[in-house]
Amino acid sequence: MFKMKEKDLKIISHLRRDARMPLTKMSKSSGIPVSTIFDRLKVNAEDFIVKHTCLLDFSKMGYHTRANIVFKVSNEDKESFRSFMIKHSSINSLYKINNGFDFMAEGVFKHIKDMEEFIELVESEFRVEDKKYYYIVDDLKREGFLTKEEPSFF
Amino acid sequence: MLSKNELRVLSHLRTNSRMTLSEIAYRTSLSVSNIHSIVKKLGRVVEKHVSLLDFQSLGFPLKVHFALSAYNKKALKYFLLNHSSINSLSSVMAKMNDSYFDNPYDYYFEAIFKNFVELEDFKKRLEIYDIIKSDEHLVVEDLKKEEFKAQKASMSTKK
Repeated sequence: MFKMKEKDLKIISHLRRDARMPLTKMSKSSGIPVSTIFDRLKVNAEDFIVKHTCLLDFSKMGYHTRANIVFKVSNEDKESFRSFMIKHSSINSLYKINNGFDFMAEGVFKHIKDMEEFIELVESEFRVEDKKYYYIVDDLKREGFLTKEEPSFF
Repeated sequence: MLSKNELRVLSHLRTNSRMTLSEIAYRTSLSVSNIHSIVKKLGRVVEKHVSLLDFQSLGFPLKVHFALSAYNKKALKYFLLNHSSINSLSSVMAKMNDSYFDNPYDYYFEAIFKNFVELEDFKKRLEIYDIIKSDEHLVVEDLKKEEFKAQKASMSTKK
């Protein structure tokens, strides 16, 4: 486990607010020298950064239906279901979960009809024992954890 | 609708948003000035650039997804928006199999904790908002994260 220090939290919180922030700007804002930021990231980033990405406004791209869908799948189909969902281009994120279900998939679709067709395909290919949908109406907060330097984190 | 070149550039930013414009230009065979103007246009669909973290390696091994409905919706929303453990929060409506609930869920969120004591403490604090219905799922493993419109072989900085 990576032991986070105060400097690391400052660097992380900047990257969480804007992953494209130049190191010079980060240095000015945090008071940490550029060389230190560079070294900390070079040595430690692989330990805790999964990737730098950009979050999308899917509806502005023409994708008006988003849902978090939890699935319970028969044991025999779990592995193939997992592979299918990992490869499927409509699945933005996928998690293995517990508490009565096996997977949570965040699906992104142009229309609700596309989502319904996707679910029909999934149910025809795999033994889905149970499912539940949570249609996303509005994003209120996205990737907000560790965007602020909270002392309670230590 | 995004153009073919806009989608190409976007896929690179989705895979690694710290990629320089010259690197994107090299990979797409587009000019740097063209890339610069595309990235500017993409500002209308990009909400923010963010580094995705392995919370477990930072000492936060518990990731929990909640779906809640409450009588005290407004106060609950304010609480969740301002709570430091909340990573993501959406307003939702729910459907189970083929029927909608009479009282659909109001919010779906992802919360991050150091341990089960923190999680239980958080759940106790939720009680004051008159929770009607709640679902809770502990995330055992992240299998895929923010891959929509990303490069096929997603580049990860993590070992």
